[in-house]
Amino acid sequence: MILSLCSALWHRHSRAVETLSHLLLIAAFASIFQDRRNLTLASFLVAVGFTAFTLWLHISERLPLNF
Amino acid sequence: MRALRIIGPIGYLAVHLEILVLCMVLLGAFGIQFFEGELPCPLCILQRLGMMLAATGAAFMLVKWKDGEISPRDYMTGHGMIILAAIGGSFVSIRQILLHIMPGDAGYGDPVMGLHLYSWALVVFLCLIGSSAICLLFNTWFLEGRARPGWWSRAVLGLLALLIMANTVNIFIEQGFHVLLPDDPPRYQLLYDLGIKK
Repeated sequence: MILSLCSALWHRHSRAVETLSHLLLIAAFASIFQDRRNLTLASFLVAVGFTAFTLWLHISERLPLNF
Repeated sequence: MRALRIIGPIGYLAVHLEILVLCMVLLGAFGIQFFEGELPCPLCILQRLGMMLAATGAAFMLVKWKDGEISPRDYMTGHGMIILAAIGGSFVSIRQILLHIMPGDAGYGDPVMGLHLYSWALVVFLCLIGSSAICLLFNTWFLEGRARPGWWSRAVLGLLALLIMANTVNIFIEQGFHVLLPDDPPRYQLLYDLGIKK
């Protein structure tokens, strides 16, 4: 699934990044109930980083918005 | 004041309020989506994501407060998470505002109380940054006292978990089995893919 997402992103056809962002958010949220601070921080930063990456895809018009 | 005596420090109450306010905003967005038929665009979804990430920072503090006290390190980490998520979310809002800033542009969706949802989202993100700054500035005063976790904390965490799941299911239903989510999504694609709607 991740490989297909990467491939789709590479070919600039995918918006499946939003679904992946949500899955990363769920991982970050679930990690706060574990008593492992570094895991929480790492998963949170990955989720925020991926969201920022998605925004960059929009701003750089690799995922153009035609409003 | 009675609520403070029951629940504990002001900082503890503030964390509950932050999560509740964000949940109300997310529920409002769902209300507009379902009752007015406005499907969220990719940038709207990213703004919701920013709010849920910020709420995750507040939830982190709530979980760490379970024994009645929180370490200053965890308190600062939680607020750092909120600020980082709010900065990310505000960039998305600013991007969408700039897309519709030209005179004559009607904007995306219907305005609510004079502002479009993405403008309100920017207000929410700036308020989050401000409230976290205040919580960090007055941390000794905000952390005074012993918290009394109860059903209210579990209810707030449960509501947030429910909304995170609902948003994930929502994006999947909106996108269906396709890799492409349109700029202005016209329908819930999964329902058509499965033949539930024709």
